[in-house]
Amino acid sequence: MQTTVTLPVTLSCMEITFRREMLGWIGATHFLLEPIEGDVPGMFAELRCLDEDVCLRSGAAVPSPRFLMLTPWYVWPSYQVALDDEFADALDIRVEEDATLLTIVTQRVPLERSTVNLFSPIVVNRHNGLADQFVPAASEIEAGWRVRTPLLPPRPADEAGEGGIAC
Amino acid sequence: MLTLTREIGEKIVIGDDVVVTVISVSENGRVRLGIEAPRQIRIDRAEVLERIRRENLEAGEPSDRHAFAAYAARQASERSGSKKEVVAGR
Repeated sequence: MQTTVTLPVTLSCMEITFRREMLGWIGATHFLLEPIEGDVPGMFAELRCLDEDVCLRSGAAVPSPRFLMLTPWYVWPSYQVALDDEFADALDIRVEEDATLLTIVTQRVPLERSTVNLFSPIVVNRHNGLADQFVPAASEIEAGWRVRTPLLPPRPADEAGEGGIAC
Repeated sequence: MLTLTREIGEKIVIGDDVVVTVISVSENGRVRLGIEAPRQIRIDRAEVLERIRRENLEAGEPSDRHAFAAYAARQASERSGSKKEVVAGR
């Protein structure tokens, strides 16, 4: 059995605990999710790490990271992810309604190069805040969702040419 | 690094409960492996994890997230029009 997460959800401020540290950020497991008010309430939130002893793989200590999170359905209404049993069980997710799902935005300069990681979303048990980053067994091509999916439309000047943000 | 030579159908055992079986080897060098392991053990392609790790690192770099969110929300409103209203209305 797979749990398919398709629901658009209303974001609310909540504490989130990753069941294992976020990939890349050693020691980062405790976070606060804060919705960002704006033209489209619920579309974006900030995920702020509460741990103060975060470091990189090199051992270098770094400030607690923050992430811009997007509720993907605002931009990709057909977005859905099929969680495997092991992943859902580990977060105590039994039915679709137990889960909420957020995708990580990577901001770049210029802004049109910014992307969203639709391949590997953050899945959260909305009852207890337990979370993990889902890594599909399938490849990006098989899954149909990419790690670097452009968020903004290209500027007219860019459309003819570069294509430099492909994965 | 330990290196072992195995033939198709042969296995290696890692620890008490991980078994890796060589399923097939194609002429172009592609190796298909079967892995039996307890459910709690993470099994992923190394390059996929590395790609996600790098993306997470870049995403966590300092930036003005609120200004970007406001801009992107306006862009999405203009781009998706009626679709957005359906989703946002829930």
